[in-house]
Amino acid sequence: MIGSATGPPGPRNDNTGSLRTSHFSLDLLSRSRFYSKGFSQGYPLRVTLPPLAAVLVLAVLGSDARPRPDLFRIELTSPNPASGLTGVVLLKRPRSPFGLAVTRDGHFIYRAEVSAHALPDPSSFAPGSDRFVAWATTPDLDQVVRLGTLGAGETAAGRVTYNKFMVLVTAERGEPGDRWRGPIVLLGRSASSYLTSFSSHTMFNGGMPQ
Amino acid sequence: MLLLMGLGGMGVGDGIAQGHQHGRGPDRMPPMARGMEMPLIPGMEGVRPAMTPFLPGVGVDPATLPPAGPRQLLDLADGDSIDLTAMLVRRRLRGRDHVMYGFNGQIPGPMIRVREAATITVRFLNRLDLPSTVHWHGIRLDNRYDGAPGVTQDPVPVGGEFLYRIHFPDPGIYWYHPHVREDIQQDMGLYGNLVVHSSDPDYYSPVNLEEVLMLDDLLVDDEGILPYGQDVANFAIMGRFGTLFLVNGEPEYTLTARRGDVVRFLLTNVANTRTFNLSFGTARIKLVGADVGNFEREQMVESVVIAPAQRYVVEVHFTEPGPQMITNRVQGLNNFQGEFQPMVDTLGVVTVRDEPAAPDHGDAFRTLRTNRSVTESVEPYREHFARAPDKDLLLTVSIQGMPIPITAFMSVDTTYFPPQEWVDGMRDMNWVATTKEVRWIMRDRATGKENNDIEWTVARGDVLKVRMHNDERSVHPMSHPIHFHGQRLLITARDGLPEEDVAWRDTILVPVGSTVEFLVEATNPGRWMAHCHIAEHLEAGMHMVFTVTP
Repeated sequence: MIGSATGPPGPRNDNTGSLRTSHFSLDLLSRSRFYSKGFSQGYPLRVTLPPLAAVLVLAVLGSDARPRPDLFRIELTSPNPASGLTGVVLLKRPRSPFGLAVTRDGHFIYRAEVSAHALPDPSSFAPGSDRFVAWATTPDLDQVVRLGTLGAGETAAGRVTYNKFMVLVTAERGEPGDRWRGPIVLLGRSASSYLTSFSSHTMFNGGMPQ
Repeated sequence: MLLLMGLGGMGVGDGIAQGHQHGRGPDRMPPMARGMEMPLIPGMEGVRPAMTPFLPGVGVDPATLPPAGPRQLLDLADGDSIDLTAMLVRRRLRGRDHVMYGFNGQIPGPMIRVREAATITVRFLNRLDLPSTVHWHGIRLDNRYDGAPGVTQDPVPVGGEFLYRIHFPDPGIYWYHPHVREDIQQDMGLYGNLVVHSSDPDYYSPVNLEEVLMLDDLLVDDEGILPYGQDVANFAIMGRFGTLFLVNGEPEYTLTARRGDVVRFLLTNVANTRTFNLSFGTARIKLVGADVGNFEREQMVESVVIAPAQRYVVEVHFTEPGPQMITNRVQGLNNFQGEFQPMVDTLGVVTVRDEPAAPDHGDAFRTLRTNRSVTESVEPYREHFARAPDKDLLLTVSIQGMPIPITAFMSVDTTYFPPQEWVDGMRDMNWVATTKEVRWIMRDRATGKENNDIEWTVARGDVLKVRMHNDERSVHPMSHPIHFHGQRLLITARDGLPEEDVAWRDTILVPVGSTVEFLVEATNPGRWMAHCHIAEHLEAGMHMVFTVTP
């Protein structure tokens, strides 16, 4: 008979039930804007703890809070906070027939779109400077790609394929070369560049139980 | 110190046992991929997954089992019938015998080749030690033969059998696999290809050779295959990444070609969780087809990104003599170090002899075709490309009850998640995570319903437009290859960009932070499953149901 199952009964696993543990749990900073060494807003990460212990864990984990970086947006700030200059980099994902744009060696490909607000005359940063130029560079500054010139109300855009990187805007004089020569006006870092070794964690300093 | 004393009495979250030695035994910790070594994180001593270890053939002497053979080609005509027996086999890999599963004693299972519009009958016999079914992935077949347990049929018990009647309406490359505990059964060798030849003799460009490759990986160490969970799936966060790459079930795939040969590769990713980034030495690659037939427009690509369950058809032009390595090249993220590691794994070698190809198909290779039949099949749906979606799904995860050390380190680990995780860069966390603690979620944003509580209904002949977003703010986002059973899918936009690489599909990769909009062509009535095709994510609840009414 087509479509009929025969044979002795056996255990059933129909993939239809979701599995959840039933226990006392505590949402750790799950809706906060800040995370402790990475705790982010808006996710349900839970541990099973007595209430006092939970407070203590929060004390340990909350000791180095900072915003969770955005995967696709980099806020640019000035090395001179008093300047009030800001900018933003949007990391757009280029088209790919696979839904994921990568290079042959597996680097993610981004189109970095750089814009800045209320930039003054470039010469105000260095005499003779006549333009702003956006760059992407690795944290070691050993590789640099020029993204483009950034005029008033304009966006500089270019391809970035580094694992970790920074985006800089510099004030340049004349046609830019392969690297910047002028002063850095704005800078920001990719989310990946915030990755650190686990050895920096409190637990490697005896902060957590065995 | 007070803090340490306070924490010291807490133990670990329920569900994770203690007192275990990590070095040896059935629930030992898995090895790391080369270049990804990391020490045990503090607090992990004595922690192990809360599961009963399981490997096939407990108590069975491997010597009593038939050796697994290579797949055989079954050319079937319309109306043919075959037996397909899932059984225990003895599989020798790298000098060691393993008890694994095979269809008809083969790994991969028989390659079934039919012509478009054929119908065959398959009598499935379950001679495993687990219940099972067979799902005919990507085939728009009669609902009752879809092999989805709890949706279209009961699991076939051990010793039982089931008759499947399969009609093949679409040319292309498809595959079959169990749909019960895929994390075990598929991983242990139960997979095979279905090649459906078009009635159009010009469906593909001319080539010198055609190869059908199933890409896989297996998690083994010097003791053997790492056990699975009997009652729950392990490796529930990232899925089970293997340490041994397999092409058509073999660790060493080889092919000989001539200089100038064009080889068509029909690729299927049957790994539990690994997405490959494939290249073929220095040879140029032309992308020709996807899951359910050809692309509307062919294009050259640098590499082929293929997620679990997806298929791609590529043509590769080997113009340089010598060995051309088929490699998986990725930037592996070592979460422990917080660093990326360039990784190159060789899946096989194409030896190109220094003699000219005959005939020379170089001109055909360099020609990028536009496939009018695809354009015509898509045309009725163009009006839906720009309209608003009917349904909106969020892909996310909930993790509860993990041990405190893991929870603490996950807090470090949430600094950054790549759009695609190519390797298991957080071995300790992934290893102890079972489907008791991890729940992968498809959430209908309109209703708030999740996973199997979602049951959409669409009338036959209608077009359902779906938006899916992969929540980059979840505790551990991962890319998801989402598979809809029984219908064809058409991507209309990704991340706000209208889709230009038009092809019919059944499995869509949704990278972390991405939004994909697609059409479900509701032409095949029945109650169907949709789910993530990372086997452990499926086991962790990431599945839903939709009904196409007659």
